[in-house]
Amino acid sequence: MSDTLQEALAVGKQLVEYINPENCRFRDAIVDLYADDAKHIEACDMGPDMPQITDGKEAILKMSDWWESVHEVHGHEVKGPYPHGNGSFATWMSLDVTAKEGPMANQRMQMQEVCVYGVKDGKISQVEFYWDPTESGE
Amino acid sequence: MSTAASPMMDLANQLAALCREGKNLEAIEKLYADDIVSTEVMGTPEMPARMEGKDAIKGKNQWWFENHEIHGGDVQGPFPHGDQFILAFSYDMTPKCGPMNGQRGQMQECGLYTVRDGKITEEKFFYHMPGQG
Repeated sequence: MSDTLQEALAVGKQLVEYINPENCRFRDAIVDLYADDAKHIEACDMGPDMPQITDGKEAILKMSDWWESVHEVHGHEVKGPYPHGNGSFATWMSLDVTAKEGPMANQRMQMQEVCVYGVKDGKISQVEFYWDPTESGE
Repeated sequence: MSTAASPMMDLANQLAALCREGKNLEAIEKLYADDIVSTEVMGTPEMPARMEGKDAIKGKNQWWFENHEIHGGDVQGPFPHGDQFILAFSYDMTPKCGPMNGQRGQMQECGLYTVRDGKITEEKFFYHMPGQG
């Protein structure tokens, strides 16, 4: 097995351990596992607090804090990590969530998304979120 | 609610539907570009990690179907992002060869697809096999 695959798998396992439903350590995962210059890329622009691209760990933490402040999370599930040989891995996540503001305010939604993480020098250097903004489970 | 809001999502939904029916070869013929590049997590003697061209990818799929007994499965998605989308696959299967020969198991994987000019030009698979570490 190649070094990049092994590294991606090891970081992926750490991430899933942090964010699984028993631990829910989403913020700590960013603090501990992300590179300082990590990049977060959303499926689309989600407004001024969550642009399509957020650059740098500090900005990602700020965006993540904002997201947590405007959503009530009833539950979530995480599957993976699923590595790929080029130093990346994917996780699948489902969220049962109610937005506190915005166009979907007070509507409970079930969402699924797949996140693809890039790993460099043992840290998460990039994360891309794949999800369908036109789909909200009823 | 689901809306095929873009040509890419229309194509992604077609791929998901054909894969749900096990019509992967038809999907490749219909939706893939001639110079498709397909990348697996790791290469094996029968199957290099990177393969190119529609015929090679069809051969890979045929090999996979011939060497695995599929008891059931599910396809979730598509999950879009720019000109790419992901399908999340789960399989209940028994390999007919290799280190897991005869052992029924559940496997999950994500396929990341890139679309250009209305065709799938690249597919990358993400999965964790027993023995990978």
